[in-house]
Amino acid sequence: MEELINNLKLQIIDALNLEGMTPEDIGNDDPLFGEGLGLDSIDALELIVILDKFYGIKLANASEGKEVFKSVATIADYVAKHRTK
Amino acid sequence: MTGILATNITSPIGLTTAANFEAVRRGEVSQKNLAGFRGLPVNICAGCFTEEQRAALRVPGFSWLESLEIRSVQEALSHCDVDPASPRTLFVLSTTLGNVDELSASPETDGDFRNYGESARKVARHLGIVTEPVIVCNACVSGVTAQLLADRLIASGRYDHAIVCGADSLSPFIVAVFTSFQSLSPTVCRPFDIERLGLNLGEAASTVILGKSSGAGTWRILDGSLDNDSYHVSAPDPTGDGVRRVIEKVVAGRDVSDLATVCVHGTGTMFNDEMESKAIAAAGLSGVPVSSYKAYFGHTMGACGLLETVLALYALDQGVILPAGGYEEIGVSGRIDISPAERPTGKRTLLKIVSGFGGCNGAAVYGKEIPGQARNDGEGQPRYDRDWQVVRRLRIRSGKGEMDGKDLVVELDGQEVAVEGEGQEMLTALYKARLGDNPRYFKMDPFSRLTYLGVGLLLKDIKVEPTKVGILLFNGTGSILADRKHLATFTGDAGFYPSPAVCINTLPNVVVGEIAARYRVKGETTFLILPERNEAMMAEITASTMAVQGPFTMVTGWVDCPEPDVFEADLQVITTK
Repeated sequence: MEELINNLKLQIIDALNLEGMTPEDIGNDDPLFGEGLGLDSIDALELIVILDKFYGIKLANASEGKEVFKSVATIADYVAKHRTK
Repeated sequence: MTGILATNITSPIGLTTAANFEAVRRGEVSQKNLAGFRGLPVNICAGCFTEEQRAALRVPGFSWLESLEIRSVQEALSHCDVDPASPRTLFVLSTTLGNVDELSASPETDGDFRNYGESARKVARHLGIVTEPVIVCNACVSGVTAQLLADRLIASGRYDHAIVCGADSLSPFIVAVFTSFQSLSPTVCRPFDIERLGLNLGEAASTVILGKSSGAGTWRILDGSLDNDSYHVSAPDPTGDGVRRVIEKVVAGRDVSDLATVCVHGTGTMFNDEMESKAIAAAGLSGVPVSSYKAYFGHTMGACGLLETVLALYALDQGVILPAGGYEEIGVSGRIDISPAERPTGKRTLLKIVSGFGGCNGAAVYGKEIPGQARNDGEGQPRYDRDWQVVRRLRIRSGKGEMDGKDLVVELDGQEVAVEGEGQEMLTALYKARLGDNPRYFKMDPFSRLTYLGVGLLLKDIKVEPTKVGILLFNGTGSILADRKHLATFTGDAGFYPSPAVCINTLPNVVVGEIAARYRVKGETTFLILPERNEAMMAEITASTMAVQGPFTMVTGWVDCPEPDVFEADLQVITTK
């Protein structure tokens, strides 16, 4: 799980171009949207691409992702259960 | 007052305006279910021409998009006696993506790709047009922006006629963009319906020939307005405030009971239709019948602002409001008058509204001539005085060859700005030192970074009422770097993982939306492409834009980034005296 969480953080930092951030800067339970990292609707779509590209998970839409994308920990939990690659 | 002398619609269901009207009346639609569209691992429903139609319409030596433009303009010209070869005939092309279907991920494999300006010029010359083309690249608002731009330049006295053509084609490029945004409906779209699932893409061209000389019975552009909702690059302001403001501006002083119809944007997405319904209701137009056409053509992007206006005006000439395609049961909260049935009308005033990525909105009102109410345009004399002054100026130049012994120049208000590094590194360092206000900066492509930085540096200290500030940018190469980057996410061995963050910057006006949202710009924001930097034309357009705003402050100028470290921004803030 630790490795998965770290990989997710790296993938998020890379795909979302979070300038100057390292995995240590993102707490596992930090909210990703709103306050927290301040991601927005386009970033949510980008997270859907990450799940598809690296883990073979197809989320139908961003609203389905709302629960999943609360924090890196919730994403990791979802990925661990649903990954196909 | 500018009149519409001739029109054309070239779509999968008809090659003339009349043929499209009849086809819609027969219930024909342009959309088809396309399994695995051109090798992409997606099933879409989109408006597109058949292979047979494409072969028949293709003009030798031109791309498919250029062929559509040529066919549409030629057919429109056949209905009027406007001379395309006059030095007083303007050509305005409205397109969101241009020839992007010919583009490849790398310059080495481009083949016959022609970028916006080169393509528009080649089409213009083929049509016999001798003046330099102007390309409006303002996302979905382009078709209305193009008409208003032409209207203003005719009113200024510089041109007698304008050929205004809107066109976009269906390509893997655009399918990948909208797939990544998850906004495509798997079936024919259902604007305003409770069960709508998103939009269909479409391809078409549509043309209007505009001119001063016109008799009674000619449709006139009575008024127009453009603004920005200053909310978000891709999501519309959910209150519909930006659309409400442009509607209120163009219907001010008119009896809204004279409006035959409001021809809506109605894309079929949850957000657009909901927002649009609220704007219509808030502007007091709940009782005006809606004309909604996306279910017949799909979203034809650069064409739709023209196509839908042309079809709605033709329908009014036949005394009808066409059925709202795809609509059965109301699925929006703003009260609107929408019907799945054709309705008769004897009224002769049309309101067209549009909204697009980058936060821009547009409205135009059309009517038949009412004696005694025509605007006095003057004859052949520029109507617009230069009554503004330059208050700030910024110049950023890199990799364009030496000027005054330097290759890199950053100058703000005539003072050289000390910078670190070169090229993109220098831009980012400058951004961090001077702005540092927007994490999205780092998600942008090189062109958008340059534009955000340049316009941001000029706007950040300007304190003016948001509705009195606008942006008018000119550019040469569009968003070519973002376009290539996007292509690399789904061509070759890349699989199919188009990135929304990359896709969003393939519309070059989107960065203007980013700026508008950050710096509270709620006035007109327009993005134009020229074949090359042309100071005379830029000055004409700037003058005609300032002239219709009232007291106004605007950032305007040239901004272009053909390669990551080769770029130029030459911008100024002008304000009414």
